[in-house]
Amino acid sequence: MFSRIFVEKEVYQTPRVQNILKRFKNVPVQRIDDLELIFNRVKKPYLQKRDQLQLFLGQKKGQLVKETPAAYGLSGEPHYYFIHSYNCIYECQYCYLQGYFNSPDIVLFLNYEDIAEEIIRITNEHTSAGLKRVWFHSGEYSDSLALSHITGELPYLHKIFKELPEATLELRTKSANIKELLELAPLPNFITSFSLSTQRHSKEYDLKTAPLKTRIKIISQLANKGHPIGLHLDPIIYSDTFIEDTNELIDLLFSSVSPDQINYISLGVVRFTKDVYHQVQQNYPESSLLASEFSKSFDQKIRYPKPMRLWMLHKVKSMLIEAGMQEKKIYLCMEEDDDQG
Amino acid sequence: MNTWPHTQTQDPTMPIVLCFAHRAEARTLLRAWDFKAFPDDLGPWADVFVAKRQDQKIYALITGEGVGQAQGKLSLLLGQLWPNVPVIINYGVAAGLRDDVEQKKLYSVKTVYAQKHPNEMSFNSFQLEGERDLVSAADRVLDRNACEYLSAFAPIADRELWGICLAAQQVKAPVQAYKWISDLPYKHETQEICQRVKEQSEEFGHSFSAHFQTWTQQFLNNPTTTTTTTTQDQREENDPLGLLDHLDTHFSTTQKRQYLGLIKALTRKDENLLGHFEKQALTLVQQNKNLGQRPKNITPEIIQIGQDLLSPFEKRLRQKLEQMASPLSKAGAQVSFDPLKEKAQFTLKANIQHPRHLEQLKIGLDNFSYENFEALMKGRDDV
Repeated sequence: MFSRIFVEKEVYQTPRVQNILKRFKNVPVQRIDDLELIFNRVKKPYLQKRDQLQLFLGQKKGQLVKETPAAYGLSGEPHYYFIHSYNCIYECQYCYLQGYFNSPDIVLFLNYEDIAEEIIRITNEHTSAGLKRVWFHSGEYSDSLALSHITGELPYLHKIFKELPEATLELRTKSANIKELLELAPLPNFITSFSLSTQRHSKEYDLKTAPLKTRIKIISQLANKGHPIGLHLDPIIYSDTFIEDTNELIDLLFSSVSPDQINYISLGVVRFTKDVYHQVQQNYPESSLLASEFSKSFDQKIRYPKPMRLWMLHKVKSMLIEAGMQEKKIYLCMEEDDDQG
Repeated sequence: MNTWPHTQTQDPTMPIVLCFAHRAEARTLLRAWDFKAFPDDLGPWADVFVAKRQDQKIYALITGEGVGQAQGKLSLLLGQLWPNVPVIINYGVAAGLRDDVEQKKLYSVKTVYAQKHPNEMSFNSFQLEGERDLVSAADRVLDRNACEYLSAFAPIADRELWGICLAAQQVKAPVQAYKWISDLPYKHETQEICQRVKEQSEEFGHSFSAHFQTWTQQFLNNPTTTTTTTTQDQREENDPLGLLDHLDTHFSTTQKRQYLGLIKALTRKDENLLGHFEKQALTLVQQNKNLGQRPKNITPEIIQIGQDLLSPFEKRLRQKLEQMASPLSKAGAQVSFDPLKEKAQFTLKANIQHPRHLEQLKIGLDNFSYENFEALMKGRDDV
């Protein structure tokens, strides 16, 4: 999986690092002073992740937990994300990580204690102000489960959130790697959320991820064990068979999982920053994604025209409601269902 | 990050510039190919040699060591050759920084990075078509300390490729680089690098010469190579509908670009769409011809046909908006919508010169439903 592993000298001897290194006995390891001096310091081609993916192990410094942008999660409650990792082993053609970092290499931050301390501090701050729930999302810059079998992070987070019922953790993923998760007892505030696209788009654009049917099987397995589940139908991509494909996705989903087993579903239409779109053009020049009806929007982002994206969102939402999902459990991600103008 | 034009797309008669940092690296190849010194009257070109093979000129440039030297000397030669753009090949010895490259082996270079100062890298990179990454070092890499930092970025270090890429970038010349690993300073620190390299000069000299022999055979004799100028084949590839060369069409430069962009996008989306495009466009061209109209009159419509095939939702939205606005248009008012379609608003412009015009406008406004318009713009109505 990795062609080389870089480890910060300060953490090299820690059990966490040694456990990870044991899994990659044949991979060359290089000790470095500070990963910030190497990672992201040069523009490394994104697709080198296919044959020269490197792993960095170190500690996150600076701000460990950040507030999410508006319209990120269920509204009315504070949302934060924490930074435990950079980059992803998967290769989704629309992924914003293409234009976010200057390197596709994976970084794992192993100072979980510092992250946990910050999560506890923020939760206490909000609860003492009278709020009943604070959200923490993982997977903003990586997939939350894809490497969970090597990081050992899940049992640690589970322990923290078990003792912090006012805080809810969301693990965002496209992975089918739930072995670690299945060993943990379900907690109401320990939610695994899966990103799903239609079968057609999943095959075409979500390279190297678990196929849609596998993801649904995994969702069912977790839900039946009592683990809370969130879903992200994001990014929704338009095609001439949009309605049929979405119906197929909803049928597949609800033939394995009951709508009652799903805590929430977020809906988001595909969008790109200018830089990410440029990267998609460079990395996947033949992708049919580039033949979509995008235009440069008011905020310079590349997306469908507003009437189109709102129509798509309304359509998917009404199809979900028709299939038995409660309306209050569906929210729109990064899109104001507004009355602007 | 800069990506180079691929060598396969180059003209097999285009000149070649071989770049070496040192004479010792070039000697065997220069002899084998019977290179002659560049004519004396060009003074500053004392480090350039030239050979000819069939219709192709091959230049060999001794750049001297260091990024600045390489960039400066190559820029001068490229200026001299302009407007001919050569393919540039860099051969040279280099240091192996990690155990994933072997000593005395030749590697092609993939991504090129550069070290600015001892602990600082240049952010940008150049991407070539090769197998291993390389970093052009600020100084000679002679010991483990220097190796340790650079090896985090690439397994090979040289002293000139970055400068060669910078110069080549100015004229968009394709670059290839092949590096022979002369020493492994992370294993054997040495200050006697010149002596060690000298001792190996016969080996790497033969390696470069043999590689170039094979390379030229592939490059010159490969019948699949095409030229950089647009051939008939390429025109057909870019414009399979042949509308650009059609006698009854006319495209301005901007329209040509739009049209070719549409062809590309439609091909990506669904190749069957090209057939629909062709049919509709040719019908339009024929109708226009029958009416005796000028070919350029219908070019915007041809482009619109392509755009509608590419963006069916937008087409339906546009048609629906036109339909909604028709009571106002019929009343003589001009209706314009937000071009980005982000806001559910429109601008109405009417020229009132008579009470009758006002009456017509009132009727038009009565027949226009803002609620329906808003529902459409906010995605609540089917398009």
